[in-house]
Amino acid sequence: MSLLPPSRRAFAVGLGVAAVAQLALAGTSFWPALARAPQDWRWMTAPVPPEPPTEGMRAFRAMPEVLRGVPDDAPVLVVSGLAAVQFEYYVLPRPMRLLQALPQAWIDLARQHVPELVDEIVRRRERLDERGLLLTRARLRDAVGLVRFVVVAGPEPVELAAVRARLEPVRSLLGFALYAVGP
Amino acid sequence: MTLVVAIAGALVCYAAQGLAGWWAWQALGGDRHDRATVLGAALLVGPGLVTVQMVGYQALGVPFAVPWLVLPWLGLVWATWHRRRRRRPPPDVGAPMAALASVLLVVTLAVALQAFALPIHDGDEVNNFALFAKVFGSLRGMAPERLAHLMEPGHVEYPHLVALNQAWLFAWDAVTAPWTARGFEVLGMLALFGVCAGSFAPITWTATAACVLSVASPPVLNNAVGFADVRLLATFVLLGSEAQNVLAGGDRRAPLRLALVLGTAALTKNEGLAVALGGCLVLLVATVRQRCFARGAAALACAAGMLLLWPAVRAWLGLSMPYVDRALAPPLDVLAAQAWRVVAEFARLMFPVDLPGFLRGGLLFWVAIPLALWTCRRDRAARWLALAWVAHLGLYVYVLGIARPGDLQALFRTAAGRLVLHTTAWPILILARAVSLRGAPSRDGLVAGGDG
Repeated sequence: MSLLPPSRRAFAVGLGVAAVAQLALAGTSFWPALARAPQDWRWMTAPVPPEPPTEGMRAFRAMPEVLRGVPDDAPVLVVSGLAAVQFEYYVLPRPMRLLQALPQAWIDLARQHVPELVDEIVRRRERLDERGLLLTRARLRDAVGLVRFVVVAGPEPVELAAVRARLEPVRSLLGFALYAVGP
Repeated sequence: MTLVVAIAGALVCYAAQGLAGWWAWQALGGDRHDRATVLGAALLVGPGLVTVQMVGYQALGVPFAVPWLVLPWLGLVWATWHRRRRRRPPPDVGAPMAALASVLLVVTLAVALQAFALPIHDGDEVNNFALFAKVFGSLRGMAPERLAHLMEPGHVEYPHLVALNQAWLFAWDAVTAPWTARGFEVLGMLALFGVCAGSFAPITWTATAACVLSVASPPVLNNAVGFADVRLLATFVLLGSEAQNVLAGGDRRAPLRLALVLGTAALTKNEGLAVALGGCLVLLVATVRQRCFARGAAALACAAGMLLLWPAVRAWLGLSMPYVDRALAPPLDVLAAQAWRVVAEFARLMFPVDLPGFLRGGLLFWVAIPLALWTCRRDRAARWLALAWVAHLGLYVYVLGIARPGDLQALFRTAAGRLVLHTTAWPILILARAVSLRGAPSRDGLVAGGDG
């Protein structure tokens, strides 16, 4: 079998053409990310930005400001919905507890509108429950007794009403609210 | 802390990590290589050594504070600077090298622009690296209690080379660290460019074209920010180069350098650990074939120490290893049913036939396969590299093939492209062999193929 013994010139020219084509492909494919960079920068740095488009970006802008002044050793409880935010990344080095709301009503709603996701959501609820992270009135009451501050991410869940009297609002930003726990 | 001080501190951290690698590479005889390889190797093995340093600090109870982390490396470099420094002639920067450097510089700047526009805030970059970097940096240690009881633990069981190195930035200034820690990704990209340019040396026009084809590709650019896969790819390229040096013989310290690279790969990602286990075979074969038992044993011990480091830490922390457990007790019926689907997916990613496919995967494999076939007929080293390539792909077919059936599509979407990216190390090295066979100056001193 005589496999492709190219002349040196053909070899070099072939590789050159391939390299230019590769560079063009890479540039075309990478351009959308590069073109987004100025807007990303504004979202993350402008003093009064337009509201960032993702929950993660909003958390990056809001959480350090919301937690400003909370001592490093003060335990913080985060109460959230089904957020795709890694709250501990912002709460560290403070000790943190997390309770996530995922009521049965949301699963019923998902069954009507996105049935393909129902199994995943049910599994998620079971996992949260097994780890003691599923928001319930009893867990919330116990957790509030162990922390000095509470961060509520997103809309206030109905379970919060039971401990609302003990929570003193400190500040809120972009849908993240900090409360100090009173006696 | 002012922004200037925060940035200056970050630069000192990166410099110390790079100098750690530079010092070790020089000490192990790596200064024989060209400057590009030395730069790439320093940026790769430095973070590997830093990982060992920090696990040692944790064991000894030394806090993760920037002065304690930086000073030992600066001290070592200072103490050995005059002794190790070799006077080398300035590099001969011809037009091909200038062209290659320009292209790689522009690509690096573009990636840096993307990286620094958006701080680390979301997704894999937090769940795989930055969350743990913040634990290590803000709690001044590996904080086993906190690490084992994170509310949303992400992939706490992954090897933590990236997190431990980024922890320096969080230890210095946690406020700016989500921005400054991006530098680690840009340096990973530079490391890839360095080791690849070194593989293609001497840099002729042909080598420039081959190097650009290899590294300025859509998968490299699109995975440079947010992941450790470009860094791992660079480590594999260096691993392949050093394995060739070891098998060629004649360099007494090459086995130790290979051991250091194997250890670095193992500490970077789980995939690196799997490939490094295979790399240990090279050390073993070279030791037996060259009858250099003392050196071989030292290198194997060094590699084994670094390979076992993270599994040992993981066991100490009591972290579960779901992927490793599954890989060691594979469901063979699932593998038999899914392997062909993984092969088909890999083939689709490697050999795109439409524009969206090319924009995602580039055309390296289309060029590399015929050249690999041609080169393998003439070059024994290329045959070994091709064998490593097939084995590497086989490993990944196995890893994805045993995934839970319900997870396979999601893994195709999220992981398959990056796994294929790791395997490009081998075609890149084969391409380098092809260039050295076909693109190098001919024996009569004339430059072949119009190469300058």
